[in-house]
Amino acid sequence: MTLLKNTIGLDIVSPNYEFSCELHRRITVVHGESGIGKSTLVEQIEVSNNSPDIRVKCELHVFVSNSQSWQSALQGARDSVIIFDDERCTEDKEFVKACKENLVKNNLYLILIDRSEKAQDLERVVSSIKMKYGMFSIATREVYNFKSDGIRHWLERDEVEI
Amino acid sequence: MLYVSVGDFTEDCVIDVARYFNIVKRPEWFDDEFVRLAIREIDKSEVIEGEFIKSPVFGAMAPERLSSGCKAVILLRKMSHYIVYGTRCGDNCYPIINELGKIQDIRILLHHCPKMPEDIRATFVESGEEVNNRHDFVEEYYRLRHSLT
Repeated sequence: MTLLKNTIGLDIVSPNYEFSCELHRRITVVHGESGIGKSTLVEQIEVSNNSPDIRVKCELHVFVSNSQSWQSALQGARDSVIIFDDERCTEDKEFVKACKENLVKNNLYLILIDRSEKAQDLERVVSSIKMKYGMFSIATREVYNFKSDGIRHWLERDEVEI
Repeated sequence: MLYVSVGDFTEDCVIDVARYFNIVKRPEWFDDEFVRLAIREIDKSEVIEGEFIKSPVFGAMAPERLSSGCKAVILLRKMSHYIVYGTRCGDNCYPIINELGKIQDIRILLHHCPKMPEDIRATFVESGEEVNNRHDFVEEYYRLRHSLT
């Protein structure tokens, strides 16, 4: 198992909605304008199992978790992409601990739809997981802006501006 | 006036904006011209009548399908006795939040620094500092966040 895995592609295609992204790290933080389709992404995934015309293409299983189910998700899931949409649990110290313990071990990738600084801190913390071969840190932040042209949706790396 | 807090969540803070809005919204809210403006500006949608909204993406839709940011702005307008978690709002919400702050007292909690309009006017609750431009807003936000964490 490695912290740096192959890039994981995620594509969603449905009659009125398309989404495409690549996950380069264990945690990807996503934010963006209101009304651009972030929560619709979550809905598409939630109903895709029961919908013949919503296709989720990913080499890993993709599902949505929340503040009630995150513990079983992080501890029990394997080979999965897990999405959290503005969930408060991502600020919990126990959540951070569970990420450190389980993301690499269980081959999990998280997408956090979250503007808070805590979400970005979590991404930085998990990127610096101490492995048996020493401290490993990643220089680049995996924080993305959610973009849309109405039907198609994608992620662009965030340009931090102060 | 727009009052901005940057500390921890409090009991009078609406954190789960989308679900709270879905529970408390009332049909007459959508007769309010400011609410209609917020829906038009943020979600590019039009209130046709009552809770019947026309969206360029969804067609006819109910208010439950509004974005979290739009719902947050409507809550600020209609339930101004509560603090609304402003980190649920995209940058595109803040021009209209700035305008709302000019006509009534509203309160938000922020755990991130939005890209504010250049002429943002706000008072930071923890310091009492009043700012009237983006640069001063950013400076005071980070000064307070640094001092509180």
